[in-house]
Amino acid sequence: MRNATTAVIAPQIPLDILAQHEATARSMWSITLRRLRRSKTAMVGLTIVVLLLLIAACADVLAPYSPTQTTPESISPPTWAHPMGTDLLGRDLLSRVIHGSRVSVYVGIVSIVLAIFIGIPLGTVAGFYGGRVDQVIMRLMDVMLAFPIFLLAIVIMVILEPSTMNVVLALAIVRIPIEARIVRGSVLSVKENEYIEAVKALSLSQLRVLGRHVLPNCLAPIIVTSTLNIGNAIIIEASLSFLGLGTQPPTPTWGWDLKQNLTLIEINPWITIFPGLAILVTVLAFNLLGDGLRDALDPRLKA
Amino acid sequence: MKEYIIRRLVLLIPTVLGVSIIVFLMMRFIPGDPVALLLGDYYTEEAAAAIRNKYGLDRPLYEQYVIWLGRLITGDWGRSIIANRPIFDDLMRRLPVTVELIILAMSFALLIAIPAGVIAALRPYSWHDYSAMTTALIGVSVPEFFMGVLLILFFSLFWGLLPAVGYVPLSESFWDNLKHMILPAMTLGLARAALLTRLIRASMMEVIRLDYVTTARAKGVRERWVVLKHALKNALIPTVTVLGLQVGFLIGGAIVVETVFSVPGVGSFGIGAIALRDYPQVQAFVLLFALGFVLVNLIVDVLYAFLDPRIKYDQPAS
Repeated sequence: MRNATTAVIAPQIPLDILAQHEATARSMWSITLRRLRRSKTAMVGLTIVVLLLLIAACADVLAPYSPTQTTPESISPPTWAHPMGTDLLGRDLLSRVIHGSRVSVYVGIVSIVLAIFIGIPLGTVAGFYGGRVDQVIMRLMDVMLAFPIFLLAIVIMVILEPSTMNVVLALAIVRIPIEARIVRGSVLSVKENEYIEAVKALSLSQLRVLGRHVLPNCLAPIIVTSTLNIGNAIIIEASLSFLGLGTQPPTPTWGWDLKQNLTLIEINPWITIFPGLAILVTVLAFNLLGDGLRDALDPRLKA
Repeated sequence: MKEYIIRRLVLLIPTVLGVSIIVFLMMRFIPGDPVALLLGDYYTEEAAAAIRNKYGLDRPLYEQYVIWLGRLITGDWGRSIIANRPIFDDLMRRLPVTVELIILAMSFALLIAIPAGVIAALRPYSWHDYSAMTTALIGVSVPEFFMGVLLILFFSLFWGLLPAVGYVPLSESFWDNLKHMILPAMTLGLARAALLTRLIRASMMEVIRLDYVTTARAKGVRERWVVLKHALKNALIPTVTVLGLQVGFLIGGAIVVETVFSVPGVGSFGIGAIALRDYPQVQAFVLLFALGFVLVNLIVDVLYAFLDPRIKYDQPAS
């Protein structure tokens, strides 16, 4: 903490740079929000995402039938009673798709959030302290990155028995090295900046330097990549379910439903199309939002 | 540049060792006692001890690892529990299929992405641009298995043009092989094409604005030559850097695509092994794919060194 002596000795310049930086940081958010609202595609994406969250939350209320309720009308094409048709056991596909959104949304968001909560500290520590710590952490991350992402996810699911929670874990683990790398890169570039020197000259504690000045600058790329990553995570979750390595039946998931109905594709193609469309629309929404965020946060574009 | 390549090759060794350690440990972490599984109803303490001794399971972990590594190098990748066949032979039989699939998919992706990306960049905000970018955005949002299903629906079921499943080896018939591989290769390639189109457009748009392009134009170089030789070559450099990552996605995607189309490659081999809990096979499958990925990244890094002249001149003075 500054005392009377340092206040006299420390030059005014660091204070000005600090104040300037904080002012810029505040206005950056309002500029970003304004740009985001103006982008039509981003707004479409945001709307769909919000709708999706609502559907997932209110699945029990919205679904016309129970997703596990079997009926005698099996493999029916779309009808008024069953707008998306029924599967082999006569279960209403619309209800299954609605409930399936829960797994996808939950896995997509929670896995990315988990990856961020572990990846950011890792990357920050590695980038800020450098040296031995950096080497050890980054070697570990590199070894994980030596595997193709989907392969690593499969391996983790083979070791952990398939379940929703384990899919979340697997996707988070797979994502952590990437997040850590991004944050470390940001931290490294910010570390050299003038105002960090200024802050250090004021002898603020290291933690405060990290928290208030280094991290907010790394936030922008993280927000963008995270939103885009949620879409990726949903695709990987669906692929794992498709291979039978994800959430186990009878819990409805889009991937497994598509796989189950695939054998009936010649009889009724509709019941393979709808789960796939659900995935497509969901991921598209997150990608639109992510693209919009990236353009809104791009410092090179004028407001 | 030779130093760069040598440095890169030397880095290969710890990477390969690290991968092998993880794959080895992975098998040890699988829940359940393999000896109990093997013996089933005939489980007794003596039998279990004898089996553990025979397979070296009672030795310390690092000893087991070294023995395992030694066997790998000599080509003994274990025997399948279910089929009791050497795994290496099965893998070598299936590997060319997967390699062919990946090469076809990548070629397909580049064939679409480069023209589409370049045209979109040269005519920004035109209908070329918007249609290419919209298609690309949708392409990135589709999971591979759904893309495969859609392609099967259209090309096999509706129009009856191409077979949905099955495989004919290249050695038997070139055209039949191609007929069976087109849909899987398209499925695998389209997602990559979408991403690469976006990337090429972005990097091309940046490059076209740079000074040396203006200089070339001012010198009176023909527009097409400017585009192809100067701009594109440099715009492709960031593409090469992500090529390794893209092949990683191709490897992962091949697993799903081979399952959808019943292509007898390494991917479907692995999934079958997982379903049957044939863990030696699973281990070999993971190891092969991981090593393949490491190899591809090495090739891409070396390729990048050739393409980016800055690397040649950035060497520290000897």
